[in-house]
Amino acid sequence: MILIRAHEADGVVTHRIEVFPALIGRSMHCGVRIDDPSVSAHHAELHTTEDGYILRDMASTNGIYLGDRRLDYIVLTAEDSVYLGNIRLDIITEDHFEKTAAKKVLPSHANFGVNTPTKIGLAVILASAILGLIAASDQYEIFWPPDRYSTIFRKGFLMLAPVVLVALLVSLFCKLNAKRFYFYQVLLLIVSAALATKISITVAPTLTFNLHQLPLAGLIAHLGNGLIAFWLVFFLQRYVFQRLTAGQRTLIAAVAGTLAICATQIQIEHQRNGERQTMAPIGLELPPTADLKPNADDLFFDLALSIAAVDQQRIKILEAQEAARDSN
Amino acid sequence: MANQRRTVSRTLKEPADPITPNRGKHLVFHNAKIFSSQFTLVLAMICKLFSPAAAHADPVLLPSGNRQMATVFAQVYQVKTATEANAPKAAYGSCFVVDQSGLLVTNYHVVAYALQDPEKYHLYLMDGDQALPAAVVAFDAINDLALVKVAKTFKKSVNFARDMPESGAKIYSIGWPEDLNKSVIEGNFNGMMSAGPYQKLQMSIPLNPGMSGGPSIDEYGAVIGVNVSLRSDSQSLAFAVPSTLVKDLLKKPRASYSHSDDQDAYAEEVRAQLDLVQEQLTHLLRGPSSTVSLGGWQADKPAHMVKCWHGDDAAAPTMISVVTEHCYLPGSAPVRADTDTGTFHLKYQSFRTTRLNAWQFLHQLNRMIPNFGFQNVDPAANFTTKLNCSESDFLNTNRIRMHVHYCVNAYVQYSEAYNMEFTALTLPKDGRSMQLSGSFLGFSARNSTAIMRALINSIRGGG
Repeated sequence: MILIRAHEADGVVTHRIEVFPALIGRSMHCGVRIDDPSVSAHHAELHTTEDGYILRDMASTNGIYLGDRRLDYIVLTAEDSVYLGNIRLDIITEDHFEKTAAKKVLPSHANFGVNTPTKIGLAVILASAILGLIAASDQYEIFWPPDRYSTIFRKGFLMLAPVVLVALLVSLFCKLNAKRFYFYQVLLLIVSAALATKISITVAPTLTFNLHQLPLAGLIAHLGNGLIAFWLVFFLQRYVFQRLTAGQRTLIAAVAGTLAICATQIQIEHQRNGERQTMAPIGLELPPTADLKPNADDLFFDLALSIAAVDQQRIKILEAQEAARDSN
Repeated sequence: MANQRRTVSRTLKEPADPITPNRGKHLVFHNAKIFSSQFTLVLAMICKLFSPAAAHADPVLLPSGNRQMATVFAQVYQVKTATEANAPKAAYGSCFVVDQSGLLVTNYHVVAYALQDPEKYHLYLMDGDQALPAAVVAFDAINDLALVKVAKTFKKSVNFARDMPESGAKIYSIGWPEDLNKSVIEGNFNGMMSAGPYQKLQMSIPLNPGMSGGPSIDEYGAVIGVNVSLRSDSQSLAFAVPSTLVKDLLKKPRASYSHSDDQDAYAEEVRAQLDLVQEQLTHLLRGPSSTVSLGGWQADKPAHMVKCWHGDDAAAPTMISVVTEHCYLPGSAPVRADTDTGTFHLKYQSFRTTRLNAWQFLHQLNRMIPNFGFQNVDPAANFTTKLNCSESDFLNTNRIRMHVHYCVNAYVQYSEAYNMEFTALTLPKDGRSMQLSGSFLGFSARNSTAIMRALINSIRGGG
């Protein structure tokens, strides 16, 4: 058994190797997978022999280094540091591990491997989620005056809340910054945001999402826009954001997906506003009190007009009935 | 003005309030008058020996029971509404002979279809297997009574009780429940109930549909009322029209309502009756008032005849505590088979919040304003016009600013008869607001406007 601590761009990943020979490289097939552009697909192979552990270069582009020297193979001793391309690997052999385990080498899954940008991102999303949950509660109007703009923000937060839940679950079970997961993470984030929108509409009708008029269209719009945003970010990551850490990339993809969903919601709001009857709350667009006479005469003048209108309608109906009787 | 009001209230009170305590005593005291009917007296004396249990109730004479009951029983017939004599019925009810020349009394709502649409529906009296054509010759839509004439001479007619029995006395109702066998149901009399123009006998007796129009008799076999309704949400709370009103109906001039040419006369008669009702109700509503006091607000409500319910509701989700007082008139006129009118209800609500700002409070109140809709609006039937709704804001005479939503529609058949509904909400101030809603069915424009004006101007306080 041997431990390899890989100093990757976004943090240290510890690999525990028990089956030999073990392949190290960027490919999915590798037992020790290091996702870094400087590491070849099949970069090196780790053997165990009578002499100890041997790391052998597999004709990689950037080679393996011990100190400054590029070598074809390296016989590993305890506390060696070797480089695969730009990635430093600390080698900890079994004997040494047993001595130091209690002190400093904890299993990597104990701290989730969460780095700083991911933590900041999670904190931001968590805060949004708390606000979103407040927004979702019956008492939201205490915190959010019921005007149009705060309503849009409220809806944005509402959509973020389930995103955060999924992100937390993903980070708990899948190691958030393990790069092969970020595709699925972001996909999940976007799907969950779209679903959350639908669920919110269904279970909380008082929140009056405007989507209730066009359920399927809304779902498709959310999903479509979210996925477009995600794919955009995904391709940018591959070819432009190579220097960024996986955590930063995850954050960017999530933000892009969420923004796309919010944009969709606003767009739908805008569209619905055209159709919606303007229901101005009473008392807001009223003439000033000083202009009114305290006699309610205007009201009863209006009432008299309404009564005259129903009288006319009554006469019309009577005439129609008369005509029908005559034709019989 | 004050003088005028007092006069109005006095004239109104006398006919409309027949169960003052004195009158009640009077009834009890003269209970023995019933026995002036010779027949009953003799029967009662004969039966006296055989029912010792009843001796406690009346030591002098004993109720006769069975024979007298059988006599009344024989005079109860079934009346059906159908397109032809042999056609399946559209509606059925019970009726009983009040005059041997062929006059029977039933409920107005039993014959309403035939009155509304005489071309399509005809009335038949079921005499054994025979269906005798019948015609309505007089009706009282307010008290739900109709007088039916058939071409047949009866051997006997029922006797009317001269006075009402004591509360708690045993009574019987006869009729054809659910179109099954003619039945007698036993129950108890619970006194008179009067609300404005409406008078009913309250009974605890399990009436069934189909028994409408049948007689309710006291234990001496004299008719005290005409079965009219059973409260659907109760077990056996039933109502009957007092026999005094049947006597009034018999005094009315006879008319014909069984041809389509008579439709105008029919509508005119209903309208005239409705006029009487709403005049009384208007006097009631504009007459002596008591004060509703809710959460710092005050408003007037009629002092008499209405039933009021009071409720507090701290509506947590909206952060607004609501106090409600709901007043209604326990009576209405069934002017059509499917329409009750000639009644009103009022709802007073105060709203208070300490947690919402003015903007939020207003927004929530706006959401609480109920949807309008009268129960009897059926545009397809063309019985009423469509609702005409509007809103307005103004200051009342107490300089309280409010916003009013109202709706009004007219009865097509009856001139100058309207339904009106309104909701007046005061502009929120310091987290307080009050709402007064009212609905008036079958009122004239002048009366409903006057009532609405008085109610809205009665809103005061709020400080």
